[in-house]
Amino acid sequence: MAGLIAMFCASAGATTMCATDDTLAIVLDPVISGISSTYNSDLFEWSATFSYGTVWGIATCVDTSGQMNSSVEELRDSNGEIATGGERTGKYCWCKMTHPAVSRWVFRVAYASVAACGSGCADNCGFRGRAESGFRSGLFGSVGN
Amino acid sequence: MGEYMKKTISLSILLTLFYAGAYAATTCIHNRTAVFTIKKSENPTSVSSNTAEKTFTLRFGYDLVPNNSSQRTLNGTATCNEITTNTAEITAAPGDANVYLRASSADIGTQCWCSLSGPVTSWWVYYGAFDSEDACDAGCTSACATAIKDNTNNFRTNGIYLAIW
Repeated sequence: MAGLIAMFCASAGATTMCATDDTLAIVLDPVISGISSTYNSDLFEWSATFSYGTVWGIATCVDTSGQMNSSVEELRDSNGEIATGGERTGKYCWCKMTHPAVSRWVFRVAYASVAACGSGCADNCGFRGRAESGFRSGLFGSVGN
Repeated sequence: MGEYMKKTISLSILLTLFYAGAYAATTCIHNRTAVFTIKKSENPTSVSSNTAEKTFTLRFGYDLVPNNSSQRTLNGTATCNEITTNTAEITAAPGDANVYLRASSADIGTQCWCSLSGPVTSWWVYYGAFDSEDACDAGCTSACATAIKDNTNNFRTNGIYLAIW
């Protein structure tokens, strides 16, 4: 990450912007695999560490499904309640990156039960964040205002 | 249009918007890559704060996402609690981060903390103490926004921005 902070150039079309030491660059590339991951199933928190830094996120288990690795801006359960992370209302595991940037909710997987989702979802988010580029594309590609 | 040009344009559309160079390595950054560039020394051009919601907005005069003029805003949030330590559990000084702090809307206290909440986020950074819970509740949000805007005592460059990673 120090390299990216110290010197960074980005090009779009004919325009190139080069950063200097005054620039903090945050570049989350889904192609780059992670080194390790952690999780806390009680807190529904996870992290994945890459060569350039660590990303952190939250997880939730709700009763609404999605398409694997696709994202939604607002996640609601079947009662219309907006998910904020840490729900245990369904078997469908969703993940969201919270640091260093906010992603949308990305659907990960369906578990066999609510309990299984509760105990495994955060682990799954962290592990897949480290190991699966398709999932990282869902996270990193959904960042923005 | 020549075949070569068609292929070149198609490849550009399909694959790549950005290329990044870091030291000697060059990385091709495709359109699923999140890229933010923050100019540390540049003050926001304007700030606004919502004391009731404990949220503030920083608007910058440059593109946070290269060549995307719609991405010029960072949102932040403030909280008041009684936590006075940094990550190392040492008495926090203004600008210190606490990566373990999890704020709640129910938090009450005299100690004011600030963070970025999106699209780039930071850990909680200590602003300082207010004389009373009411004073913190009323003043913390705008204090965070002003300290970041004006970079008071390097609160932005050596506090909030260092707490992003």
